[in-house]
Amino acid sequence: MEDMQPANLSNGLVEILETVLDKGVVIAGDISINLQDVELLTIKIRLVVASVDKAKEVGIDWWESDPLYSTRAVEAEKENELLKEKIHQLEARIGSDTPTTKEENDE
Amino acid sequence: MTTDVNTQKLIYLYGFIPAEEIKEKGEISIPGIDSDYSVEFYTYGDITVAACLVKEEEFNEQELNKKVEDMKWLQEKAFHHHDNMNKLHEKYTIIPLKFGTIYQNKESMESTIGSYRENIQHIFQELEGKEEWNIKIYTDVKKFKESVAVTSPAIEEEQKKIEELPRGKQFFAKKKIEKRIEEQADNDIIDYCENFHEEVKKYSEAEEVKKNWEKKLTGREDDMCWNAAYLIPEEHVEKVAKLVKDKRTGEENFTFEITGPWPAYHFSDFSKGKK
Repeated sequence: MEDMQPANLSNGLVEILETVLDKGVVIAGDISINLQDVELLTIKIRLVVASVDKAKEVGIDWWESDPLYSTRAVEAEKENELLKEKIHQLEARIGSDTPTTKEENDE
Repeated sequence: MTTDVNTQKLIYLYGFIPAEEIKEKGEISIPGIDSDYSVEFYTYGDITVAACLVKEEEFNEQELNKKVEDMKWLQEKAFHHHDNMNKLHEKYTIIPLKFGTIYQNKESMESTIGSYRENIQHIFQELEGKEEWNIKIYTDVKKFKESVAVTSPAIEEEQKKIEELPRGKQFFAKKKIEKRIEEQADNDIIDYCENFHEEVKKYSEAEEVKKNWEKKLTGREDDMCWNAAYLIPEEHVEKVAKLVKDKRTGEENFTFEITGPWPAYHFSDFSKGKK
């Protein structure tokens, strides 16, 4: 039995979190919690335990920029698209032979 | 610790225990998820609920949903939930509830339990004398693929044939064989794990095959290729342990990890109990 680990002693952080946050019987309580995706939570928590600042220092912060996981990143991506489009429009104008006057622009 | 008697309280639930076990073994004393309160046992007929009071201002829906965004808080409370569940499980048969099951008052809790009464009883019977164990298998997929390329006679022969082809054709033939090696390696890994699973199934009452975790989750250098939970009768646990031990002996390609006994997180589902 020396190879078997009791759940309360040596289970990894990941295994405990994945089980506790994702499993167990669901009954209708009076209060509902909106938990994020359990894998993402586990990764985030693992990093918190290992110090978030340290993780960011070495460049591990993909969840903040991955549009799949972050609403802020989704917004940033939309904004990015909008800005890109504006730049394209401006570039097109600069590149065109006929200079654009303010009046024309407003039309 | 003293708490204002006027503070409004909610009830946080851990799990269900057969009432006769509480009668027989007595209650244990453990702290609650709100450190101002301890775990209490409420009995309704033949079902006892392990629960604790929590302050409304900290555990109401709005506040709680803010708190679960705080990873430090969530980690601490998730570990508390698991720790208490383990302590309860060490002493009693327990149906573990999901993290964050909260009721406004005892009446509301009692009415919900009433509607699940038969299912709870059914699960108590299913869990009696059984333990949940989790088994994970890891392999270094890249290394495994290399070994397939070297050890498969069919592939070796084909590789020789490729060398005889004109250079232009060699490129595509090589791509094709690389794909074949990958497919064969993937199939070999699945076969190995499924065969092992079949062996464990001889001793288990129920199984749940889970998703393999990615490396960013495991933090390991090799790849998880099997992740499953098993409900094993106590008398068979040693046999499964021996099976894993025997598999480990002399095994170069695969690493085994077995953990438990866990509260039956994977085998207490009421909807399954209804079948």
